[in-house]
Amino acid sequence: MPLAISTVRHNLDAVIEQLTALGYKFDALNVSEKADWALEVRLDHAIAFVREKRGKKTSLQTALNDPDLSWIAEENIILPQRFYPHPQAPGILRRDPKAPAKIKAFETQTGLRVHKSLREWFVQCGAVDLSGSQPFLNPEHRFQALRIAPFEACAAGLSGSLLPLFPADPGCWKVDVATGALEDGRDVLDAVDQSLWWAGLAGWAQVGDAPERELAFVRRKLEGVK
Amino acid sequence: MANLLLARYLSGESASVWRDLAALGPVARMELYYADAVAVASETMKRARHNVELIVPRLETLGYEFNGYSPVFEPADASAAENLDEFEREIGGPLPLSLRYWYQHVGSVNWMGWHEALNPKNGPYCGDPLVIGPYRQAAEEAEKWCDGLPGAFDLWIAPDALHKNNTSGGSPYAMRIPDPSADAGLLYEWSTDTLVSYLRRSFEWGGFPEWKGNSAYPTKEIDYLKEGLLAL
Repeated sequence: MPLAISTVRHNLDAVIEQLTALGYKFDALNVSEKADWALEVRLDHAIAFVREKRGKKTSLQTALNDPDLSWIAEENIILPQRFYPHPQAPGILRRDPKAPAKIKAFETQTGLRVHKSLREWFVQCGAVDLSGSQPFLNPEHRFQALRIAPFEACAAGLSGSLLPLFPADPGCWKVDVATGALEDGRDVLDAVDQSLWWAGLAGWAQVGDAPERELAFVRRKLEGVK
Repeated sequence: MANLLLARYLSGESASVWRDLAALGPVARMELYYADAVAVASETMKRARHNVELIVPRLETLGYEFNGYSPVFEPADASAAENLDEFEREIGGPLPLSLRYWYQHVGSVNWMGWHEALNPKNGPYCGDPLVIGPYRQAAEEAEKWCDGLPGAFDLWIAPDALHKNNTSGGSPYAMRIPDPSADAGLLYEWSTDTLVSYLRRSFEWGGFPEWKGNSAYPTKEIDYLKEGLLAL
């Protein structure tokens, strides 16, 4: 029986929290952005407009969630990092509030029914990228960390009924849309959770010199018995 | 909790252990690593002390003429740890572990001076003789340039290689403190080393690291100075 999505979500949040405490350097937070000045001006004006309407002390997060700024999500604009942790900001974990609608459109377009596990993942968790390094857990990026692209990016790579979960990497997990199973037969949520047991660095399961001290630190906050 | 880093250090992985510790940044202070990091820093600087105690009499044997501006070697005494605790309180934060344990186990050294082969007067080469000045004096110096302590400031721990040779040069070698990291950059030193890697290089060259990479180095003197030194 597949895991409850709430457990997976808890474990995902716990792994991110523990990795952060260990000084893990997430690649997603270490990208130098090219300034999009047109977007910056548009955002500045829109935020100023909302503050004029709702009061000068309206927080940035409140302003970004105002209906007058719904174009950010509608146009699928990725905000500059300074807006993190807004859902449309890049980062380690990005939940897409439009995921249910996107999945529905995908089902209509392809005639495929998206399995519950897969649907729950994209609705409750979304896109994740744990790539990064830490001297003991992932020295010099020794292992590829857990990463799953946003639903629409995965959908664009659909081949038959197989959905690549990180299309930019040809070796990524591929999941059967109808069964929610990976090519090795594991349910996608089980596979994610097993990866989280290794702090998102499943490669450690294959070698004998895993950093037990750091893994124990991460695992102390995980739910479920492996 | 087992001291995994210390075990690696003792087995000879000294450079990679310090590289890992430095990469941890302030995380080296978290409970998971702290005791281990302190054990490595302590072991490293006990080795440094051993090396200093070997080199000083050898320099005297070689007829090295110390400049005498400050003691050639002022060993840390039994109150060093307590004094450093107080200093860290005064500056509002910790010293990098490497610097802290240097002062706790070694003290201060000043090997500036002259020798016909190692550091010739008015010669074309400067050996960059090891100098780590007393932290109190360095902090007082820094206070003159900062708007009072605490607050992050550069602790000047040694003149740069040129000034050591009585020639106009650049900024003094410094460490920005407070800094909770295990090791940190030795600022204004040409190779932009951390303190530990600078000390390692220094002892590999008998206390005169600037000779590294110079084929004209004084082989006989350097080999004599570095004989039996412990690797950092």
